[in-house]
Amino acid sequence: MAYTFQPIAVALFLVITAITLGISFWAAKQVKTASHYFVAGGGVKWLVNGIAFAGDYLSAASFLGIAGMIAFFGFDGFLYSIGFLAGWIVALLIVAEPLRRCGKYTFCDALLFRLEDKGVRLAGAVSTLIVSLFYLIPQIVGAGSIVQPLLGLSYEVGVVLVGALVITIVATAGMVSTTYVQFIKGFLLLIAAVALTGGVLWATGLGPVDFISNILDNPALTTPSGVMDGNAFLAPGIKFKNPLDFLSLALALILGTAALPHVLIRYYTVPTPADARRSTVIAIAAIGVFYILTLFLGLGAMHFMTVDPANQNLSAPLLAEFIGGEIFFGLISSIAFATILGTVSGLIMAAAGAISHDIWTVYLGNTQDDAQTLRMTKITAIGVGIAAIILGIVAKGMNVAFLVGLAFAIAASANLPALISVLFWKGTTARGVSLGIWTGLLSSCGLILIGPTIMGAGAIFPLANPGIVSIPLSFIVTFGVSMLEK
Amino acid sequence: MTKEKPEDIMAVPEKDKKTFRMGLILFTFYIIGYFLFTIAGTFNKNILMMRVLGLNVGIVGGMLIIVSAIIIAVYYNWYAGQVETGVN
Repeated sequence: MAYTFQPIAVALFLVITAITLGISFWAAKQVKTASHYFVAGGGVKWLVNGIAFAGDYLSAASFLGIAGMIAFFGFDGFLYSIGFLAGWIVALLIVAEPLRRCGKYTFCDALLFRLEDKGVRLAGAVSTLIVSLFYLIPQIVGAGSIVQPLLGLSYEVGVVLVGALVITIVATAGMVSTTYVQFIKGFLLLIAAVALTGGVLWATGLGPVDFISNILDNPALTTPSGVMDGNAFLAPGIKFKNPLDFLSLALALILGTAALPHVLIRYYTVPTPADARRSTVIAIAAIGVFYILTLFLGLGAMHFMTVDPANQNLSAPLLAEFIGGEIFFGLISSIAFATILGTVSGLIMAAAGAISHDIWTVYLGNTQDDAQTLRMTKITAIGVGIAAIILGIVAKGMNVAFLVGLAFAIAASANLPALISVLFWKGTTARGVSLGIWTGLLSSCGLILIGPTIMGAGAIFPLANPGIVSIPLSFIVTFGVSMLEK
Repeated sequence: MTKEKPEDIMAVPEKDKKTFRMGLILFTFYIIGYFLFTIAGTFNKNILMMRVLGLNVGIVGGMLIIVSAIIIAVYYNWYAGQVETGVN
């Protein structure tokens, strides 16, 4: 599909990006200590934190990836919406308050609350880094995808552009800036989703139930994946030909959220455990409403065929262009771009914290004062940002929701068994935790490498998502080794 | 070098334990619903294709899972607030 330069859209894009950077530089002046940088001094209000939670979580995968996935694969794409939200119940009811009681800055601090062990810290830090990188790739891919139709630039230039902007944000202000960027874009994203859904229903002249019913009743529905029965399109099996892929993804999604390091870090930015809980409730409500709307965005893109066959991620922005012309397209694309800036900032924060705090300072024993810690973290953030740019270019053309699904599987495999055992079982041993993390990390990454995502038709492991194997395996190793040691 | 810390993070105030127990109950109900939905989608997708309320079970079930998460979250927060203020 060929794209042309659109001046109004570009102007809107520049204004929203300038506002985002302005907030970042303003917030930079408030950073005085490492605590301010990593967790905004623990002083963020729960309502702001809750929307920032939502802004962080509603990444490129949610807005661009899921809409595209639903447009191309119907119900199989909607499974991402269901699973992404269901994971928050695990986070709220099981993890939020115990974690807030014991942590300081990072996922590793939580693991080490009861067991002080260098091996656990190293495993936790490496896991944080890998999960954050896997989560970063789809965000960068999403950014490159948007810049292409918006600015008329190549995908690669778009990736470098977003990488440079995010590095600027993170290297200047840390979590204070990230929180406000995520808060604002969380609101904007919800408004954009409501407006787009309203636009779809207005353009079709149907109510929400009738719109979906019409699709279900169509025996020869034209979709980007071909002509098929409407009820079959809105049932499992269009993307996940192997039913176990559906099960594996559902497992990874519900267990992954509570184990994402950049989500966990938000429990420490509020003053009390009760505030952490309230933040999570606000996030669940905002995210839940948004995910219901993704169904209409995806089905709207399918209905009006506003899809780019070469890039599923552009379905929502192209739908906006169809409904509201260049201005709406510019607004939606700019909000998606700001979304990516906010999410990537949070991810780089988590990854940089793992390297500078857990590995450099604690594991390698480099004693530093606050100023040195901040300098080291900012240098690390730049390094992680550059790595993300390179990986984003390599992953060109992949659906971003699918890529995030892989990050969820790795997080659920490597982090969740360790977190659950440390929080709730007195018999946990340091070796059990560290071996469990390594097992989850290596098995999930290994199965992705020998699976269809990388090897295509000649895959050794038949499932696209490794969760169904790697998550139970990591639980068995974590608890099994701990029991044997006792 | 492993050093076990004496603190027990499960040694929390009774109020927090009460809240956590409620969380576990709600979680159990939710996870059963999610599990049944996933099993149906994996092994018998015809169930999800059955028509209900003008839609199909898959779409209605998916919406219910999302909406019930919001309801559970709001209720849990209300309950925890009651426990904290000593009402419950």
